Amino acid sequence: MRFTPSTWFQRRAYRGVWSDPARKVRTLESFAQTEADGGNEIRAAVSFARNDALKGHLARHADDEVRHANMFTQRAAELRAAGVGGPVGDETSDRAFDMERSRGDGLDFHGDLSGSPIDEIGEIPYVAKLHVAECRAAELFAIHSSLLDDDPETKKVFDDILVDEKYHMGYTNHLLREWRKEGRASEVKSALKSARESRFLGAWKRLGIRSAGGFGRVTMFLAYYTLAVPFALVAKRGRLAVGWQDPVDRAEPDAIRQQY
Amino acid sequence: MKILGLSAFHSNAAAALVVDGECVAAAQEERFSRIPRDAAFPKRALRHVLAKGGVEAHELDSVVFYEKPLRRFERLLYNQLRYFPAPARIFSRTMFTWLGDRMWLKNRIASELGVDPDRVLFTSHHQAHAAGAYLPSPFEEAAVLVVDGAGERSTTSLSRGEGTKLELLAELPFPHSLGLLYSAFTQYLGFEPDRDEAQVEALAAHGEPRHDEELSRILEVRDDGSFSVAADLFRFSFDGERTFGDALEEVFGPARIPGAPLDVSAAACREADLAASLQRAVERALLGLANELHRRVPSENLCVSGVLALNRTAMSRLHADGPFRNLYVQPAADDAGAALGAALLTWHVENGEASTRWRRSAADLGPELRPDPRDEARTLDGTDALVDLAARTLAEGELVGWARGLGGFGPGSMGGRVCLANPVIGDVRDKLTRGLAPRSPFLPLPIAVRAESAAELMELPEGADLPLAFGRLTVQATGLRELAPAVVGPDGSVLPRLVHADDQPVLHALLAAVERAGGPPVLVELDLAPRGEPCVRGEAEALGLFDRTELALLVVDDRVYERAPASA
Ligand SMILES: [Fe+2]
Ligand SMILES: [Fe+2]
Ligand SMILES: [Fe+2]
Repeated sequence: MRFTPSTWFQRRAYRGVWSDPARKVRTLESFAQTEADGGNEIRAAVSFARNDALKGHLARHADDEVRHANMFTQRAAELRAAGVGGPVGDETSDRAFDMERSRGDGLDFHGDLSGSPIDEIGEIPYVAKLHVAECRAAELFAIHSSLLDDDPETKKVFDDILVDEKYHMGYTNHLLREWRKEGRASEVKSALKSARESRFLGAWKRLGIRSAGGFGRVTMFLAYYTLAVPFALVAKRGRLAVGWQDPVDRAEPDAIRQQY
Repeated sequence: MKILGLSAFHSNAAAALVVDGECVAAAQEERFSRIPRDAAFPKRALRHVLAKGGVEAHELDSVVFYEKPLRRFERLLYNQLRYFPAPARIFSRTMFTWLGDRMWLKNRIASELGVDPDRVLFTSHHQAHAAGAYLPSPFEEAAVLVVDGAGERSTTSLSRGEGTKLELLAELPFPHSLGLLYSAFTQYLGFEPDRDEAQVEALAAHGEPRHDEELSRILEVRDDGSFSVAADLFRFSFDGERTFGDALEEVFGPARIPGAPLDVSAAACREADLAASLQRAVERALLGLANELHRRVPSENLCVSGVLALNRTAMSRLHADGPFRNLYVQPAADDAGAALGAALLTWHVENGEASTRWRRSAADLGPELRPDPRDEARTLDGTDALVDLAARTLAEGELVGWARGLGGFGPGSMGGRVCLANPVIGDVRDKLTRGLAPRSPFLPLPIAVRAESAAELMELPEGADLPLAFGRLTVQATGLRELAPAVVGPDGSVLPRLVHADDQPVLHALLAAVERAGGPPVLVELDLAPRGEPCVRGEAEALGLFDRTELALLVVDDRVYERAPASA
């Protein structure tokens, strides 16, 4: 895999997950859940897709995700059978899981699909969302695999799944390119943009907007007490109209092209 | 020609798709986002209507927004600056939202849909409402009244509709607004403004108008039908916060704390009396408007829209005591109907007088049901068996969930996503509260009734067939008073929706079958909705509700789900 500063940070962050056996098992089980949910979500989308090529890809994709879920479940069960991670419901393993869970977005990557069914958000935004999620999944799985040199069996699960993830990235990318070629480049662009925003940037971006919002509002606050004063004086002296007024709307057909 | 109409950012955002003059699909964003009267940009509703119409976004000839954004911005700025230096916080919020986002609406819509910005059009708020009221109405010419909260600058407008033409005649300016007045009182009475107005309307039926005098000072109706609101008692520019002023509390005492106990059966319930006075004052103003409108447009036909048109008591009064013989009320009278109006208006503006008009009927619009069957679903042999099973269940006094066809475009589902109940067995109100969702005890129970049998049960007004079919009027009960007292309000009124065999054949057959099975000729019809949410979106939500509630039977399209007997 290609190492960038971002992967370095992520490897650091996830090292603890894989070196702690209890967390490892619970994380694999949580991945299984995520994959299964993703698979079901995609399976539901098949019947709503109108594009035949997309239908076929989605059906295969859904099967893949369900298979991934089973692979994770099985690996976790093997580890538990070998006495790793303690029994289900065991306090230490639960706590480890919850700690990981509270990081939210970091480990899960398919959760974003729920609540955005294809028939409601449209095919292009749906595929864009899938594409972004699959790219992210592939990146994360590569990182996880690179941290599992001491556990070749678990590493193999990730590596096998990675092959499918490449296909998921590939077909979504292909469909998006086809749509671009059909003259829908701007739709694809805006769908990808909003998918990326809702995915990676998630909390950080929201935080960013919030602080930017705070800054903008302070500026407006200051403007209110300085720049707005003369306008306020005019507005205060103006009389509010009462009673019937002639309508401002013009009858000409081109009036509907004006925003004012 | 394919036109998409959109409304957003105020209340009840919606999308409507008009193809060659026909509205092929319309839906409200709330049904997808599950937030009641969601005002967010209707992303999901618009995808849904495009998919239903089989139209790709890039094929749209125009996308029309229901308001002139810059005009509204100007009004907001001007009115907020008038209060200088009070609302700095609100001013900065307004500026931030507008400069950062709303000013660029044209580009935002264009990029959201991937269409050329030149195809994005704007009607004015009142044009859109008036078009939504008149164009889909059955009339060839009509007077059009829009009574709303606030559009760009105006709150109320009078128009004339003739053929495919619509002419705006006069407007009343902000802040003189019946919609804003009603919402501010809704908030003062401890309810959610822009959402719980129907609760205030219901409360009014339990009170006496003991505050008429104060109200006639607050809402002054002039001889020319115009009115003014004592704006110094309110804070209408403080949208999203408290919209009544301290001065209002000086007149009527402290505002009711939301959730505080409300005893409508008490000898004098302050809240109910205030609601009754407000309701009466607003009706007085509406009649003034109607008389002036009739003077300017001496037609027999009246079309109404705007938030006040959601007030069924007021619409009934307008029809009974006003100068017009025939009435049409756009059921989606709030901004949802304005999305439809904007699209229809654009079609006629672009195609001239020769274009033909599309007419609305009951149960013709709304979101498609999202199927998601479970294994235990049973498909019965034809609708007769379905009707038979549901009728027997209802005749026994059990609750039936009924989700068939479209989900409705307007405040409810118009029979598309409902919980039906038999009003004559046991305490139906109690059964619905325990078995479906808690409900304010003073809210009336709306009913569905076969159009043919309604006349024997209640006093049906003439010339208002469509408003009755949409369930947008209150009427006085006659035979129903003895037959089903549980659905009759304290003033003897009922809230009927007249079901026609042409519009909803299966529901119509069900009503007949219940009667044949020894049940009553009317059924209580509440939205099939989890508490505090809009009607269910699809089978999955309906089944979730079925699991959590005491519905004995759930009908989803042609599938039925039955409650397993407790012993099994
Ligand atoms: Fe996956
Ligand atoms: Fe995948
Ligand atoms: Fe409006």
